[in-house]
Amino acid sequence: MIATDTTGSALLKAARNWATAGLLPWLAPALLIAVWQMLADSGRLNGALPSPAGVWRSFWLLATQGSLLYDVLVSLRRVAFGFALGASTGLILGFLSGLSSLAGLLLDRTIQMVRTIPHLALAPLMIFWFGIGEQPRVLLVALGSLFPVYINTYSGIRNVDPKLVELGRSYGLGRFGLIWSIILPGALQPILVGIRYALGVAWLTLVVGETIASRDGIGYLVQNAREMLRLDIIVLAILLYAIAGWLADLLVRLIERRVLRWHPSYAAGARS
Amino acid sequence: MSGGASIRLSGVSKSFGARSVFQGIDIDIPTGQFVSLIGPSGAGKSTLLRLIAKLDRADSGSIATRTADGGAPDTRIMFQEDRLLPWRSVQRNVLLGLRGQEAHAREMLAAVGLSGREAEWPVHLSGGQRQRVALARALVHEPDLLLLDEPFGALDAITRASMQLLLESLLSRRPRTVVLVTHDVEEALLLSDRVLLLKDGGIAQDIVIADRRPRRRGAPGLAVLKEQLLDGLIAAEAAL
Repeated sequence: MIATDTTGSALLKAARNWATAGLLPWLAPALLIAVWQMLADSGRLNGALPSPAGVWRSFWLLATQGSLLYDVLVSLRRVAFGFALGASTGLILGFLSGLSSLAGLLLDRTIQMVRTIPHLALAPLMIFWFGIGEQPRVLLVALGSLFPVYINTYSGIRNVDPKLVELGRSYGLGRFGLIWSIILPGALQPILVGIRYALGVAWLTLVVGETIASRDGIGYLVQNAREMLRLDIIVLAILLYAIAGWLADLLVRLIERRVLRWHPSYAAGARS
Repeated sequence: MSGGASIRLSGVSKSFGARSVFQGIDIDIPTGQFVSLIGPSGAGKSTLLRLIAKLDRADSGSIATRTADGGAPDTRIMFQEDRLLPWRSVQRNVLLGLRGQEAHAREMLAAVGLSGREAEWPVHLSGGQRQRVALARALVHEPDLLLLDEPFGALDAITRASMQLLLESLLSRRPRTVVLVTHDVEEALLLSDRVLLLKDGGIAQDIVIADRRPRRRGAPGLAVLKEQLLDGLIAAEAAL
């Protein structure tokens, strides 16, 4: 009797904890939207900002009758291609310079120098070289995602505990075994931090890339809306960028939690 | 399956920059002997062990390790830090560099008193347990030559004593050559067949301990040797 009581209350407590941890973070955004809606309803925004309901209406209209889905997919594809290109290049270069001191000497200085150029400043040059098609946008995104991944991979590999590498060597691991069993897992945490950061940069770059002479994508939506003074669509586009960025970040965090589950700060239940 | 390896160092010199650690040192360790290296900090105990392990290279001289049938011995080293890979489970740590020997690894973990903990992450173990895993990892391959670099130096006194007993019982199952670097004179006397006291890049004392094992800490024969070694250590420390 007592035993069931305790388990019952323990279950209740766990459920309450879960509800608290799951719902509490959403309180502030929900309040913000409610206040925003109230301000819009009372007319105090004077048309400087559409109401949340208005944004929702335009979302519904564009989704059902317009080309919203298509535009979102186009933007997603640009980020995916650009990010894949940039991140994999950054990963390969980072591994090269991290593993081989010769490659490090050859590559690192140059990459660090190129890194200081704000890649968005290259947008006009890219358009001059590649026209206004897909290439300049995808390349800009790639360029933006390359450096965070490179820097974190390089320093992550350089910071792998040399004592563990020595141990692996004395326990008979070959070059490939050392990389696979010791260097890669040892550098994985900073590499994933670099990937998360690069994803943020990728979306940011896309926003800029798409506002320059685009014919489709979320950025095109914004340009069009600006010309027609449709603030609701502009706000919608901003929200779409935010949601997409958040989803991408969520994905990497799920991967982090899986591959770094040995790490006390990433173990199930720990929040980052 | 041979029972160990012999080690022969002849004329070995090693220096780090301007500081010379050894100048032409000669040491002979026959197959199956348990040798402890003691000496003040900086006397080159760990350097000597790293040279035997081929982790560092000597400036001159030769270091030959071979099994009874003349082959290259399988060598395993264990350090003061456990050096467990935090991203591998306990069992997969023991299996480092091995393939398909899960049953053997489980057996070894049971021998060090950690059965049932195979799937855990190293962060969830205590310092003593982690060092047990490291010991299991060093012994799972049944090495001919076991090199121990102050393996129990960072443990508390009780854990250390139980680790010493564990090491002794594990070694009694199958004889092999062991070189132990330690600060602890008592540990050296308890476990080894022979104690070398290093001083000024050479060997100041070379003591053979004939007492049968397992030995008791308070045995009168050991007390005399302990006194002798401590005097030697103090003299060596003062000479630095």
